[in-house]
Amino acid sequence: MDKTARNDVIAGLMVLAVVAVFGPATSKIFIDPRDPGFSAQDFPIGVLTLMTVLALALCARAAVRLAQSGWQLYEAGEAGPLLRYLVPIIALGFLYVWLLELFQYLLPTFLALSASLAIFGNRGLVRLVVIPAIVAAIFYVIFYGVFGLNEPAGTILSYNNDWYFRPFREFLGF
Amino acid sequence: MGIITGFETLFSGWQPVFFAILGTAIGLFAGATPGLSASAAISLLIPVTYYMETLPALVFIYTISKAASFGGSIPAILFNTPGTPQASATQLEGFPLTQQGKQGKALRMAVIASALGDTFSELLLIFGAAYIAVYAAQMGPAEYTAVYFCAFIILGSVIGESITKGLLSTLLGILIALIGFDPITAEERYTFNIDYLLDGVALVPLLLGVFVLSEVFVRVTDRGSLIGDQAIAPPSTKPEDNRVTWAEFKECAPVMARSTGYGTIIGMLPGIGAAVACFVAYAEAKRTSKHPERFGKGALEGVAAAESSNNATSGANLIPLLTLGIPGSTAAALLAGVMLIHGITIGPSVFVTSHDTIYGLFAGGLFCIATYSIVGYWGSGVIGRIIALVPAQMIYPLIFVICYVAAYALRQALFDLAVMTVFGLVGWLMKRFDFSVPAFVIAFILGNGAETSLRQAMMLDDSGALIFIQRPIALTFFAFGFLAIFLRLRQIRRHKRQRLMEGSLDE
Repeated sequence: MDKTARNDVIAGLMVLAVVAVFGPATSKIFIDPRDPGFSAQDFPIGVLTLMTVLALALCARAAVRLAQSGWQLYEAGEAGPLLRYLVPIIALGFLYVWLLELFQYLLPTFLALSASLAIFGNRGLVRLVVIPAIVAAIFYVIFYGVFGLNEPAGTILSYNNDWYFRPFREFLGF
Repeated sequence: MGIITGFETLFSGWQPVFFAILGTAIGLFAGATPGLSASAAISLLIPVTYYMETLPALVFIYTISKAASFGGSIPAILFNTPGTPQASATQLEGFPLTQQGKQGKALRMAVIASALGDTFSELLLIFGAAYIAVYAAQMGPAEYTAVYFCAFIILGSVIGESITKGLLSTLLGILIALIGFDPITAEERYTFNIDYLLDGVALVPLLLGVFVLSEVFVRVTDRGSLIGDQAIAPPSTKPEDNRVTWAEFKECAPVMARSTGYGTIIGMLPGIGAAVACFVAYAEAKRTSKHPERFGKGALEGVAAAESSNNATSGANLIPLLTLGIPGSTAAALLAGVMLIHGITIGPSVFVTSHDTIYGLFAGGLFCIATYSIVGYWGSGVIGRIIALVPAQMIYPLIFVICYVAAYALRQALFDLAVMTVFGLVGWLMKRFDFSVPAFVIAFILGNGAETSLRQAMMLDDSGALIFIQRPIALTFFAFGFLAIFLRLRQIRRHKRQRLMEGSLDE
C-alpha cells in the first residue's frame, strides 16, 4: 500500500475543507470603499487561492499514485493504536477543560493526570493515585499559590483559595 | 562597547544571572530528555516569564534554547536516542563510541565543539548584527514585503521532502494569523462570532498545542517504544578514553571551524534550523575526512562536526530576528513572542530602543555557553543517569497536564485550553502527514507583519505592484526567493534521477 499517497490525499482534502470553512467567511470581511490598493479581503483571498491550488495539486498527484497501487486505502491494524490511545487522550483533553469549569482545578487535574498515566500504560496504586495527587497538589501550590493565578469558579464545586494562599504569598514576600 | 554594557546590565542584579543559570540547567535537562525539545520547554515556561522583568525573562528563554542544543547530545551519545532533532547526527558517531566504552571522550568532544561553535556564532551576533541593523533600518514596506516573501518561500520549499506540503504549512500559518482584527482597518476577520478570537489566536496556546501536546499525541500512539531499559554501557577504565587529547583536538579543529561556518550561515536563514545544519556539517566532514571509513563506527570528527554546527545556529538565528524582525528558528520565534509580551519592538530599531536589554541578552548568551561548558564537561554523564531514572511513560502524562496549566496562565481563559487542544490535534495531523510544524509556527508569527508591509507598500505608490521591481533591494529578495525554489526543484529532480538509477542498477 502506498501510505504516503493515501495520506497526501487525506491531507489535501483536509486543506480543502479548511478553505471551504474560511472561504465563505472571507466574503463577510468588510471592505472600506475608501481603502486604496489592497483591501482587507485581498490578502486572505490570495492565501486561500494558493492553498486551494496546492491542495488540488497534492490530491491529484497522490490520487494518481494511489490508482497505480490499486486504491488500497487501509492496512490491517492501523486504526488500533489510534482508537485505543489517541482518541481517548484527545477526548481527555476536552473533558479536562469541561471538568475545570465544573469542579475548579484540583479534582479534574488529579483525574486527568491519573487517566493520562493509565493511557500511557502505567499501572498500580502509586502511579495512578499517589503520584497524580502529589503532582496536582504541587502544580496547585506553584501556580495558584505562589504565582496567584485565579482559579475558574466551578459551577458544581466552587471554593475560594485566597484565604489560605494569601498568607502564604505574604510569607514568601510576593 | 555594547557588550561591556551588556555584562554590566546582566550582573547589575541577582535576577538576570539567576535566571541565566536556571535557564541553562532547564535547557540541559530539557534537551537531554528525549521528546521534550527546547521549543516545548520554552513554550511551557513562557507563562512563567510574565512575572519576570524583561531582561531576566529574555535571558531565561535564550539560555534554555542554547543549553538544550548541547543537552540533546547527551542521550544521543549515551542511549542512541537524540534528545533534540539537532542531535540526530551526533548519535551516528556518539553511540558507537559509547559502545566502545568511550562515552566520556564523546561527551567531552560534544561540549568542546558545542562551546566553540556557539561562541563564534554569538560573537558574530554581538559584533555583526548592529551593523546589519543600520542598513536594515533604511528598508521600507516594499523591501520588508520582499523579505517576508523570501522567508516564506525558503520556509516552505527548503524544509522537508515536499515543496507542496512545506508551502501549504506556511500558508496555513499565515491563514491562522489572519484571525482577529485586520491590522490596517481594524475590521473583524474569521472570528466566527467568538469574542475570544477578536484578538486573534493567542500565541502561547498555539505553541503549546503544536509543539508540546502534539508530541504527547504522537508518543501515545507509539507507547511501545517508551517502555525499555535505558542502561548506559560501562565506561572504559583507560584515562585517555574519557578525555579529548590534544592530538584529537587538533585533528578535529578544521572540521569544527568549517562546521561552525555551515551552522552560522544556515542559522541565519529562517526556518531551516539546526537539524539541517548538523547533517550538512556531518556529511561534509565525512566527505572531506582523511579516514572516511571510520565514520559510522565512532569517528570523533563526526561528533565534532555535528555539535559545532548545530550550536553555531543558536546565535545566528537571532541575526534575522533583530535586524529584520524575522525569526531564524522556532526558538527565535518563541523569543520574539516573549519580546512582544514585554513590549520590545523587534527589528533594527531594537538596538536603539532597547540597547542595554539586547546587549544584556547577548552577555547572558556568553554566560550560558560558559556555564553549560563547565557543567557539561564534568557533569553530562550524571545528567544522562538522572534522565534514565524517570520512565518515559510518566514524563508524557506530566507534560500533558503541565500544558493545560501553562496555557491557562496566559489569560486565565478556559477557551485558550480548548484552542491548545485543537492545535494539539492540528500539530499531530501535521506530523502524521509530513507537514512542517516549524514553517507553520514561523508563518503564523510573521503573517500579520507580511500583510501589513504588503498593503503599506501598495498604498505608498501609484505604480502598484511595480514598486517591487522599482526598488532594487526588494527585487533582490524576490529573486532570491525564486532562486531558492528553483534550486530546491533541481535538487529534488537530481535525487529522483539518482534513486531511479539505483533502482535500475539493483535490478
